[in-house]
Amino acid sequence: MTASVASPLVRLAAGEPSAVRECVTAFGAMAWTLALRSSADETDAEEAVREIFDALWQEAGCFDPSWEDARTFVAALARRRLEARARRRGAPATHDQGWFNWRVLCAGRAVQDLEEAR
Amino acid sequence: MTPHEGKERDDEVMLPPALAERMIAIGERQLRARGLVAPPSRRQAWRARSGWLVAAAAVVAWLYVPSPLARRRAAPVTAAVSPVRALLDSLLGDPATVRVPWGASQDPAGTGARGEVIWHAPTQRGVMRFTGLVPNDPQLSQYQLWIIDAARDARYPVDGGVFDVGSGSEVLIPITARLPVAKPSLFAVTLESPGGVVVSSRERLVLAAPVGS
Repeated sequence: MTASVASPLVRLAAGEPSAVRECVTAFGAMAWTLALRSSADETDAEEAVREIFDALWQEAGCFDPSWEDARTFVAALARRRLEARARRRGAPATHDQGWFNWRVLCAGRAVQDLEEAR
Repeated sequence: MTPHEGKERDDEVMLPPALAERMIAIGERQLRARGLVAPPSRRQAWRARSGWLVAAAAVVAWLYVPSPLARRRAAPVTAAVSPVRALLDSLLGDPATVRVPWGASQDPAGTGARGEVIWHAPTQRGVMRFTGLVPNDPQLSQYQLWIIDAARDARYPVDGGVFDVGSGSEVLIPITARLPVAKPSLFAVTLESPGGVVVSSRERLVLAAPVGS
């Protein structure tokens, strides 16, 4: 992570107006690309990218440059928004929730087994 | 999210300039409307609202509870860390504290592990207590805590930070959640690459503590 990439998010969280443009410049292509991939057409993608940036304006304060890369933060936020958007439309969730749900299920069963064994 | 999140630049499509300008206009309008674009992080809020008193308190907190970054760099935490014990004692005396026993998975690192999670929602603080958890070599792997928040998308658990386990009869690890946790439903410990990960592969889920089970 470089300071030039991280600083727009930090300054956005601090309420600096110039950071808005910098964030769109820094993360616009990534957000647009992800939006296009999950949308039926460009009109749909435009709505999706707006949701992504709306979320970014809301959640920039959660970004901690000492913890993670700014692009990683924004990409994760974008994917969450796109997933939520897909769910609202009744589309099956994609990505990697399957293995995680499976793991949680396994953990739950392991706990149950332990309790039964006691 | 994939582990290759940061590597998407090669095939990214440029945001159309007109759309970019619209996003900027909307963002700036929201910024002006709210005064702040985003709610300040907890750390920033502390800074903003307080003076020397809170600054002093922050120093004390920093001394007693390592930040996630500090934990990444820290030597293995052992039972001898008395500030964690003090935190544990203070939490156990509070009626708002919940205690959830760990359940081990089939992973060899946690097969003989026992212990519990002590979580205090009002302060978003907690302590993990373990016995029998296999010590890790921080050069090879580190344990990482994940908190599944029922108020959030379950696919994206809250990162509870990485930690190391040394030898010792009982290990206490302070919890400092990466994001606010409204309604924890499951605490899970995975074994990850050194430094932890943003998204776990969960190849090695070691322990889990379902809240309310």
